[in-house]
Amino acid sequence: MLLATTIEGYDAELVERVVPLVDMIEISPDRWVREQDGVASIPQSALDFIAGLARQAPLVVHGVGLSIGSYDRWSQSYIGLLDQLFEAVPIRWHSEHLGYAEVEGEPLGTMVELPRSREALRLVAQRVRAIQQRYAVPFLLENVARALPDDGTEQFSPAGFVNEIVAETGCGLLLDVYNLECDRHNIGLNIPDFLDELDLRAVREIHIAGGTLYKGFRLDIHSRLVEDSTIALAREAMSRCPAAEVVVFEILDEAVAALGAPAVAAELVRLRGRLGLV
Amino acid sequence: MSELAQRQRALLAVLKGRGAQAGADSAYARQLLASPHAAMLREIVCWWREFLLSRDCRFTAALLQRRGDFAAKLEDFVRATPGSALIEQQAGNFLHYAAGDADPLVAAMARTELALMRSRRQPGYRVAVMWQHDPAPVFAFVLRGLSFEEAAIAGTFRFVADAAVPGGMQWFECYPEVPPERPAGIALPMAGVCQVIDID
Repeated sequence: MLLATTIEGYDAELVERVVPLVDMIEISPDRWVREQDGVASIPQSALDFIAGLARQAPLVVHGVGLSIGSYDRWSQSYIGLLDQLFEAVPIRWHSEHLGYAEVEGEPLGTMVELPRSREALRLVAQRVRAIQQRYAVPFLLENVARALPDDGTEQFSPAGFVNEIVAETGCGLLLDVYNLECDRHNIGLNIPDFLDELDLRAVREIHIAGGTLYKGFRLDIHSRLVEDSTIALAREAMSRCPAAEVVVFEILDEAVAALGAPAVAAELVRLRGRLGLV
Repeated sequence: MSELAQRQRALLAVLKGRGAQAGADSAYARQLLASPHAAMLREIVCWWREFLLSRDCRFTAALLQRRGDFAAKLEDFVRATPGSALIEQQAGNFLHYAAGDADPLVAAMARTELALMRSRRQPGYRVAVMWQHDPAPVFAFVLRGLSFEEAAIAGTFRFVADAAVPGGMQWFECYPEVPPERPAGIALPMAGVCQVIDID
């Protein structure tokens, strides 16, 4: 099992300190975007920087902006960013959140879970297949931190919905254990039941992070170091997911500025030890 | 309309503060409007947006916070505009929006910040923004927290964003008689022709 972290900007000190400590690097296309005349793209300077990262460690891509679950369309702008990246650097696999962030092209300002309906399932499965045909590397879906509790209209359990998508498309899963903790805190998710039902054979990547509370609500914000409970959950996931290859410590660019690159580096050393990734 | 479309449109309306309108024709929207979880989600979205725009539109945000209505202005902005998933684009959109503010000081600062943003990205970009106040004490407030009285700093000033000058900016007090300009900020000679920024 490998250890990775996120690099979200041109932070030379961060790169110098953390890249030697990890086996893989995760980047989000959305964080490198510049807009020119209304068109979003990754500038050549960023592509060069990312190519420099790729020379030091294998890259995986983790998106925020695809909005795979929007009823009307996904983000064509994000597809353009993916095209740029796939052309510029070798990418082992890529992933996206199982949710939506836009409706009719208008951003929600956050990522929201899909209703667990047959209609949503058909939509996502169709788009996953389109993504798989477009890019010749594996595609993973991540469980998002849920904001809204069930309202009785659900046609699938939380894990059952994901399993159906996996069964229909053969996509992989990115299991975010911190998001599970958010769900437990915010909407009462039973994590053992969820993990017992989830097809853990499909999990290829595990996300780990630290967040914060806002008025009693646990935020999926990747702003802090990882709590012991999250490390314990990651260890359990590692032991139960036979195809999992990497644990990624997610940290926001804004949090790196606040914590400092040395603290992020120290956290990676600590995580490698606590997770037994030697 | 499909169930998925109805639900997503309702959530968008609630998060954008257009929920009352959407609630009239959607049972799910009414359900969301009554949901404490949806209210919390909306609050978190606003909080995050406020954090990002305070960071990326620092000068304008500071002035609006001084006036005590930054949060309300953001609410209006979010309700009235489609927004952007890209924070950089959203910051530009917000500055465009604030550039039309009824308060001439806020409007001038938003135009100025927009000009500075553009001049940083676009070599050779040079633009002027007219102010009805002396920019110096306003920047001193934003950067160093020094207080100022708006009435005491009234005047006509021309602010120039220009990456070619040290600091990327300079400003001049304008007089009706000749000479029309006297350096008041960084005393550098003007060169070339300045245009008043085209906010549209």
